[in-house]
Amino acid sequence: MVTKTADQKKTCKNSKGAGEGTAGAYRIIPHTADTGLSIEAPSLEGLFFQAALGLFQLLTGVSCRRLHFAGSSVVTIAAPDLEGLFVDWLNELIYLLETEHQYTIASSLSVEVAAPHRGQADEKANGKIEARNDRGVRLRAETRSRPVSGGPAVTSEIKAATYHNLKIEEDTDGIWRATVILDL
Amino acid sequence: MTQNWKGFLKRVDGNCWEISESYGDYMRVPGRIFASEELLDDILSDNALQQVANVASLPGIVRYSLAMPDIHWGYGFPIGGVAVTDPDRGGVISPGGVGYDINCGVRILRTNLSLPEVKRKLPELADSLYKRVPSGVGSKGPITLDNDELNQVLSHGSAWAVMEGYGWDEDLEYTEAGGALPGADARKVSAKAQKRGFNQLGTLGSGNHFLEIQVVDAIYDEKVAEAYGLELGMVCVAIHSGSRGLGHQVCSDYLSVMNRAVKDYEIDLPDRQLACAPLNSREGRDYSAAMAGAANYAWANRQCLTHYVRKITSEVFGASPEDLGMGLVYDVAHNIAKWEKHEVDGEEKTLCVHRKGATRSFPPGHPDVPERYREAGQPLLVPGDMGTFSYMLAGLEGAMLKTFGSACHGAGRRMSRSAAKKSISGKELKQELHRQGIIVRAASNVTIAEEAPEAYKDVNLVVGATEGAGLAARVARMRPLAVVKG
Repeated sequence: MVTKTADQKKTCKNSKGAGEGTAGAYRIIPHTADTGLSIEAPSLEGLFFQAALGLFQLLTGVSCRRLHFAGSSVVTIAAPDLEGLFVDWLNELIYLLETEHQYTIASSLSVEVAAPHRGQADEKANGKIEARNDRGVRLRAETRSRPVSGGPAVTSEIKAATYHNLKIEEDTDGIWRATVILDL
Repeated sequence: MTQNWKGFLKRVDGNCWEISESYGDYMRVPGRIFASEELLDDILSDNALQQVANVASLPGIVRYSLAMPDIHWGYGFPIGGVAVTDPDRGGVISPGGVGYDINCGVRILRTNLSLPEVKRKLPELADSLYKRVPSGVGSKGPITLDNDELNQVLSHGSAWAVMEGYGWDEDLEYTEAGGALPGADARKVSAKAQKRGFNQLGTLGSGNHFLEIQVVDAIYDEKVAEAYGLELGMVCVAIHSGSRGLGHQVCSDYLSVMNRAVKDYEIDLPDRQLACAPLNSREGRDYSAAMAGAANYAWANRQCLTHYVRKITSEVFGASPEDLGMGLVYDVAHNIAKWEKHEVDGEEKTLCVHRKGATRSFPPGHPDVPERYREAGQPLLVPGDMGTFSYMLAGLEGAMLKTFGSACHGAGRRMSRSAAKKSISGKELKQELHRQGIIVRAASNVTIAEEAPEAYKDVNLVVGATEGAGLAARVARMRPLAVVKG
């Protein structure tokens, strides 16, 4: 198994750029009926981390940077590929919001890309490793949360993250990028 | 992103355009778009036609990939897309052809109140509806279900709600499909979806969901209006909502299932959001059963909301809902896949009809139209955007011939929410609507800005094109008096 890990012991307050695997940035982008996030990060984990922060802002209209998140829980997800994992991650956060009435972000994340079967080669093109094989990808996140009752209020109810034009890619500079559209 | 459609898009007649199969080698059938020339400019600008072409790749698709006049960009399918698949030809079912909000739909209640009678109490009614009909956004609803009760809701839809006291027996007759699709199976609805459904029944949701108090301000067909029980000057209430988080989860769950299924069944698709499985496969049957459950949840939801609206209106006016004549005119689904009988090449076949942001439009004489309306045709309520007209239409035979009994569902967006928020001030819009005599109650001014009329196509054009194409005919027009949003 190839495993990449990163630890982040600080809350969202100090998360911007601090700690390996959480650095990155997101930008809210327009879409006709819905909304989206354009995310880039120096690590794959950072992409997932920033996506959670972006989702919070889409839900509430505000950044979580000055807000306190507490507690510790674990989320594990398996999917056939990175795009599926990314969508499932965001949809899990939406699920937790609706059922636990908590906003959830990650404090640490690891993404495991299963090694290919014997005889099956990773596709390498332009320095990118395609994580596409029938062994799938897995995410393990330690999460922190904040009750909705403590504010801010949900101002935009999000139905789900979609696969629309979603592509998770690492470019030749080692920057990971993703653009995800969410159904309002 | 726009495409150059020259050479591939041709006009068939005044309100119908065709995308040639030669546009893409993945297309199994042509695309057909029902729209006026004026609407086509908007349609071309958001690249919805590419999605119409993509949908034409679905295995077992019959005749055309169809688009209604309010079409705009969606996930896999465009909003306003209709696709019919044949199980005997390897036809598939696709969650993207139903949408995340399974059985998002709308219903309208009549009253025996007129505008002068309502005017003085309108602010109080709007305030009461806003405060007491729960949005359920970030919070629980008023009804908490246990496992057994949720199973009943998933199986019986509106009938469960009526039995529990959330409505009148006759409401079922005036709901599409009697308020429940057969074949629902709660075991095919995941534990996660069920958990989301336990305490969201009776909640409105947000986004483009709403309650609207309206007045009938034009009648176009007196005979049909009379059959529907609508009169000029009558105050009505429209309710627009869906299956809430349970439906969203069912869609997400089965998109994951279908993403695996397309590999197993070797289905090649131009868009991952079209992920599907053959109707006769385990995955196809499982999704059908889960989708039916979610659809039934949505009908139960709208039925519960109906009960709250009746109760609150009754309290404001000091008369029972029965004395106020608050009967259900009709309830239609916008996002659904249904088994329907349609004629194909002279043979009647049972086919799977995906309607995503489209409304069933059955003509006079169709056995599925309630007896009282059978001579008139099935009612379709087409809500406009906030602050503009809604229309009541009647289904026409043209829809059976051209669109497998389908028509438009609303105005359709033309501007993103973020663009709307930037270009429109929610506060100013609220004031402008107030100047027009329309009361708006919403959680925030941002919500109002996102739903501003400028963000939508002109519903008058959409309805005009629908009528021009012979899919449904105008019966009445309703003007909004008050809008309540979650």
